[in-house]
Amino acid sequence: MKGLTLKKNLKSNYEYKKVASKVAVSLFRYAMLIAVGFTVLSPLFQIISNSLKNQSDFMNTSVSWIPTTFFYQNYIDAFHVMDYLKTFLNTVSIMVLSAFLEVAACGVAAYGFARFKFPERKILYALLLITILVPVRMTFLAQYVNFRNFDFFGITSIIGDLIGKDLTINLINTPFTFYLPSIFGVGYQSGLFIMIYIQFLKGIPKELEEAAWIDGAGPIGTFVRIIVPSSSVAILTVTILSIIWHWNEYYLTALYFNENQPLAVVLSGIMELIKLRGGDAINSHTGVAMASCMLFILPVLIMYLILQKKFIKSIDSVGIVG
Amino acid sequence: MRNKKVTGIERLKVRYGRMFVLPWTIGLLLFFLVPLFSSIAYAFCNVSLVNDKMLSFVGFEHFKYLINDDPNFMDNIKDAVTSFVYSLPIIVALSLIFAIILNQKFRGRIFARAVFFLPVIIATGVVMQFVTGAALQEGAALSTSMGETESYSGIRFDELLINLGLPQSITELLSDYIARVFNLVWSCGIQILLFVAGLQSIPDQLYEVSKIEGATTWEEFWFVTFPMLGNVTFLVLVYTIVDLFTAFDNPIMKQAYDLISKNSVYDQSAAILWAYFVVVGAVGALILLAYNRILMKKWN
Amino acid sequence: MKFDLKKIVALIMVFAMVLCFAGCDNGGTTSSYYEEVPGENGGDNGGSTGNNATQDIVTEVPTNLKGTTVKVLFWRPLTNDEKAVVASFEKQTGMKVQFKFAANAGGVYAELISASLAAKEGYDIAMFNNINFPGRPTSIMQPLNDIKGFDFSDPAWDKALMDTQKINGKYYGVNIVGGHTNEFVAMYFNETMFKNRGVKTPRQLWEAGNWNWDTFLDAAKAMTYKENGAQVYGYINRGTGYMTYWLQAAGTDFITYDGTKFKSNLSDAKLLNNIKYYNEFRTKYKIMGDDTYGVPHFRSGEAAMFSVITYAMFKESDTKFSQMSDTIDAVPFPMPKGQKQVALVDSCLFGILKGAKNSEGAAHFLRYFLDPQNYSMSDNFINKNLEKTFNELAKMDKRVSISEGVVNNGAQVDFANVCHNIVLTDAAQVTSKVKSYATNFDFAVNKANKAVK
Repeated sequence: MKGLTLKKNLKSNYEYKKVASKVAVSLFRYAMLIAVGFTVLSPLFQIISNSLKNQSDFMNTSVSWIPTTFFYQNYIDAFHVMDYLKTFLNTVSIMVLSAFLEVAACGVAAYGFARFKFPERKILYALLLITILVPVRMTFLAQYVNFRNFDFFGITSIIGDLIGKDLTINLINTPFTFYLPSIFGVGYQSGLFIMIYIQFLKGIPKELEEAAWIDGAGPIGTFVRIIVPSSSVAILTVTILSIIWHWNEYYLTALYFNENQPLAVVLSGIMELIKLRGGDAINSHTGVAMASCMLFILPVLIMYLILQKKFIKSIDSVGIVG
Repeated sequence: MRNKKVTGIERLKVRYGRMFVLPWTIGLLLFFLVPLFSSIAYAFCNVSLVNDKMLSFVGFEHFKYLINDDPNFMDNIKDAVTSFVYSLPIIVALSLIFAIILNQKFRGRIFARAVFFLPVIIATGVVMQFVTGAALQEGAALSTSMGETESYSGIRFDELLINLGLPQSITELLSDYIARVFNLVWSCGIQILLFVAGLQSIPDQLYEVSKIEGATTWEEFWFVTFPMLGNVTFLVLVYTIVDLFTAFDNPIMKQAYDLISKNSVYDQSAAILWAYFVVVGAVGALILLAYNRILMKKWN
Repeated sequence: MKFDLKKIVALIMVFAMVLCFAGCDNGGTTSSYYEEVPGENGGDNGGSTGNNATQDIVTEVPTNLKGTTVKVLFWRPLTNDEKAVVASFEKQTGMKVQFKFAANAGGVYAELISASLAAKEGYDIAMFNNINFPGRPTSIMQPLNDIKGFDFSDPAWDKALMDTQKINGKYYGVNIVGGHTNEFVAMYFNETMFKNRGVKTPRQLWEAGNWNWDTFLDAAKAMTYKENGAQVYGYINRGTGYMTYWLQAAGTDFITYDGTKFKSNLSDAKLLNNIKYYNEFRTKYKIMGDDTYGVPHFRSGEAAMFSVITYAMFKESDTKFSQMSDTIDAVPFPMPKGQKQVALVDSCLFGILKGAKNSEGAAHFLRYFLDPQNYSMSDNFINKNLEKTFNELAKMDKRVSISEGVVNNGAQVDFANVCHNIVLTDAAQVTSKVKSYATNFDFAVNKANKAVK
């Protein structure tokens, strides 16, 4: 620094600056957090507060943020209208499972992209980018037809022609509309996940792999024993995102599932369902709709809060991760 | 002898590489390529849902209509590109700032992280429509396009401002501004997560070394943090570009999607999408190439 | 043991045969699947005439349709009443009915239909309303006049409604008079508020034959006042997009359809005067507030009259008028003085898709499914007066607004947005504002005319 002889004088100045800058940073930080927090939390608070209002609260224009009573009946009604337990289990078995399949499949594909050189790589990478760019809602028509008359590369229809029967499988209304794409790594937003994995994999030092290679582990062994443990951050990130997006997906699921619909679809039609399954007996349609929203958000929120702690712990324990 | 060894390993690598991406490629063929080519085909044909022949080729007719005769398309493209160009740096910068803040140790850190990530959980689809009150309009069809944010959470900012006695033009401007800020903050969630993950991956040793060497916070940021974030920043750029491009509250996507949901028109909407894709693809590619160049320069 | 079993089985078979004969014995019907079915849902179907009517529908179903399937694409999940009706139809005719429904009203319904057609699933029935006209029926539905199974001489078919959306002289959508899927526009009012102010209620005016725009305006003026500092308005509308009610009532509209051609009326003096008249509610007569979204204001007693469709008359509706402590009532939407009273309809018509596999079965199903006598609608009304108005509206001549459908089909401007802007414009600029949409509306009209050619 600036010379030891002047150290004593400068020290007080320097410390003064240090403390001042710390306070400023703190203030700035909290100001930012509060401002953003408000923007983010106010809708949530609105939903929570609305979910605890009864109809007279809604009709009373002077009641805005604070309901007059803790009207938890809305939650009970929401539970019944959504058939919550069954729908929740549906959602977990279809969507969450797809999410996990996707997390694994994308990792496999990403390893191929990130660590190996082969001639087709550039073209496939370009296709990868295209999969991210094309929005699902623009391609659903062809997708639906594809699933409706599912034909494995035309092989089943050829066999079918030979036998004289229609062998194409109708996958609509089955969870395979999500399982299959996920297993192959082309599920919901898979392209993005592959890219995330690729970027993280690039940060892993090659020495680790080469060491494993020399030790005689094949590529699969290296993958399982070295790459996967080192990528815990990426895996967690992708898992969180995948579960959340699958949980919220209500467009394709509405088209593909006529029965056993996941929560998001049920929520999207909640106003109709309230009329159908409760109608007059329900005190406040709006209140129940809001309560349904909360019942929908809560599991994902809790999952995120739990996983998020692990997120931080895993970093500290892994130590040097490139 | 040396050449043979390299070729041997390289050949192995090619084989293993292909092996790892094989399932994905099969998936592409089974589930993605057909819808992709259908979509491109729709843009150049008239689509009929009921005729025996679904597609009839019309060449560039849809594109010609959109560029010349449609009153909204060119405006929407301009809107989309301009808002894209100014949103992108703001979102990336904001996310980085927030990620840095969230990465530091301070009281209430865990709570803060939950708060910042909330938009990701809420902002997709269904719940958003309850937030904007769109879902609750009496007898209203629940729109599947992303809700407008000018009246989010039932708090009508424009009403609030009008009640304060401000003239209508200013309230419109302000509500628009608030809506944009709201939109921007809500669009940052994933990027913040990615940056946080990236920041977490920077080994502590590097910071220790820089502290020993006496770097200031500013220098520390530019010489340790930023370079290590190179990969993640690229990811964030890609994600933000795609997100801005495909978000359904962006006027072009809205136009395309309204055609599908209200009029069941698949040909013109595909044309809109692909024309837009060309434009944004070009802009996005430029940005990413520029970014790569800058990175190369900085490290040389 | 075995011996006893045989006896028991024989007894059961005899018993069954006896039952069968008893059930089948009902006077020379063509269908052998006719069974005595108690009134649906235990509700009152208006006595014996009701039961006979629904029995007649089913008895006319030819036996060769037994075992066939009718497939319906519905825009929302079925109510319990509807499910019971479907089950009863299946039981009596031996046909199967398969439903696929969109999770929410209008949400992904259009996509559902498109996907089903693209995959050639062969669904028979879909719904269209005045917002999808003429887009949906012309592109994916077939004319109904020649389909076996539809007997349009049957007075139950609501021809007054179906005529408003004929294409090339043929019906493309059907509904039954007074069917539960129809929505009419009514003028609701808060009877308690009127009585408290000593003002003649709309019902009194209606029943005296003196309910029209002039008497409406007088009533609204009388019911606009300040009480304890709070402003009460005489009238509020369902929303800005529903200015069309006031246009339709006067027999004009942005775009009109005469059964063969669409016409844009943007330069019509009648249309412009009407729009200005509606604007004057807010600016000149001040009987209407600035906030145009009516339900909460009517519910909280801030508005004395409210125009919205008849779904609010029912207990299970989310408008929750049933919870208001004040008594509410409704009368048909007023017409200008001297003009004939018609019902303004948010129509809901059912048509047969192109590529349908069982159009004949579908026709019979619709006749049965839509018949109000199969439903105990009476129990669902909030009060008897509302039911009275509903039934009166059901029997009137009908008028439908198709502007929204045509304009949105043109895909250049959004109709709701256009209305919103026009409603909030000052009276002096209304004409120029309306005319500014002329090119877009003309484009939409041309497109619609090409579709119905």
